[in-house]
Amino acid sequence: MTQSPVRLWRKQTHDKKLLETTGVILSWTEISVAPPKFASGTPYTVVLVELLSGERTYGQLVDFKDSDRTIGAKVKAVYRRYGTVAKEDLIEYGVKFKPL
Amino acid sequence: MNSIIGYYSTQFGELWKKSLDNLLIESFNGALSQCNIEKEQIDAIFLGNMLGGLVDSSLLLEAHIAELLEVHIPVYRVEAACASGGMAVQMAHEYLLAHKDSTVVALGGEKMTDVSAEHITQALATAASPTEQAVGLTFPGVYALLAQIYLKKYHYTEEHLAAISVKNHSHGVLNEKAHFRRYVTVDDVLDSPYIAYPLKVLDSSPISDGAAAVVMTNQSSLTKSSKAATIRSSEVATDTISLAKRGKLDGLLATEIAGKKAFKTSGLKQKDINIMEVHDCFSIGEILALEDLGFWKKGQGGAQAQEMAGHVESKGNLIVNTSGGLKAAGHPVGGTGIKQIGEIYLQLTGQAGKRQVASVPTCGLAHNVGGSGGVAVVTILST
Repeated sequence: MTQSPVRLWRKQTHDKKLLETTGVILSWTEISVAPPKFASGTPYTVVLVELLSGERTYGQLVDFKDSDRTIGAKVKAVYRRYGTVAKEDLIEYGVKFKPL
Repeated sequence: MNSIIGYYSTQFGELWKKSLDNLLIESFNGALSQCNIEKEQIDAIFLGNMLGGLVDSSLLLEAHIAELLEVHIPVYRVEAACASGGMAVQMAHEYLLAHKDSTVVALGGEKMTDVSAEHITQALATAASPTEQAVGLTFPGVYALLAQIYLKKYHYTEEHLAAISVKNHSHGVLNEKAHFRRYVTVDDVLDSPYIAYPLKVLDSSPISDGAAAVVMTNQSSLTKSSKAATIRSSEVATDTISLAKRGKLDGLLATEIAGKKAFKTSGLKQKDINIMEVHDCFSIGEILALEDLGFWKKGQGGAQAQEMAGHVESKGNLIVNTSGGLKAAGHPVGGTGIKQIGEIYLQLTGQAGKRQVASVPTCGLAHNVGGSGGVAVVTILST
């Protein structure tokens, strides 16, 4: 079901506040079986991060070496494309994390 | 006093010839015939189902049931993700506490194998929070995050998790309704492919079709049956849908709260429980459950898992998931909570066949979880 772009806009109003913030990895996993939107990107790594502000959030981990996928490792929020969308849909961007 | 007087489960597995409606009606009729009850004696039905709308394009299941049974009694559909079945029993229990001389049916079922692995993964992920779904975090992925934290904090390995699957598969061999009836070894589990690191295919419950139903009553003429088990308590607790919002990440707070309430209401203690069905949607789930319910101290579960024996009987250890658990018996999500309570009922009334615990238990506990711990239901039965 195609979602209204307003839903994406709502999410991005929050995401933009996270840009350039840093935090530490509380946990991570590598997803091998994914929903259709993310299937072409498998395997991909998702991290649960505690930001310096104390807020906890999720994102995919990018630009990493295997040794970076460690509980307690420091990461920084960056903006990246998310998932695969239909030809007429908006390309979705959101926060991902990379090692610091 | 509320009692369970009848139980029936369909086969669990890939049931290509059967629709959701077929499964629900088979379980309903099966449960009634087990206790010689006619549908005209049923005052209300509580139906647990998660995915009817997403996978089967079937909502308003209340009217499906009314059409199939040709009845006009109240039918309440309950959705609590994988805890839909347990919640249906809990609500049926509350109904009976409020209505004297009544008999109801709690049933639950799911049709999951009509869609691709990617689409059922997407459907199950709706039990994760929107922020979790938005970054491609799947339902196994959320449990994988919990597993990583637990393994790191308490210095365990994937081998400790594997012990749970080995035990539950050995139980599933004895259950003629189980999705999988084959033994697996620790090496089989460790060699199976990852679905969400560190969780592998053989750490995970399967995608199953199936349904189950229990007949519950407070009519004294029916509760005197030798095949009746008393519901000592059935309690629910909730927690945040998102892991990120929780203070505790090495366990499920909802399980802890529901368990404490269930023990308090029943007047029983952990030492009184002879047999359990706990929510092993992933191997880590059973370890967390037995700690959060107070049977093991926090952090001891990994070591204890390797001490648990299989083949139904254990040498002084806990007897858990004689049905095969979600892992081997299968996990048609809306049906699972009913099957768990049904298995305890069968064991308490000596009707569990080849998997009957030799020294027939007198008290049993069923633990059912929705999402990654957003809902937990704990039900305690006794003879």
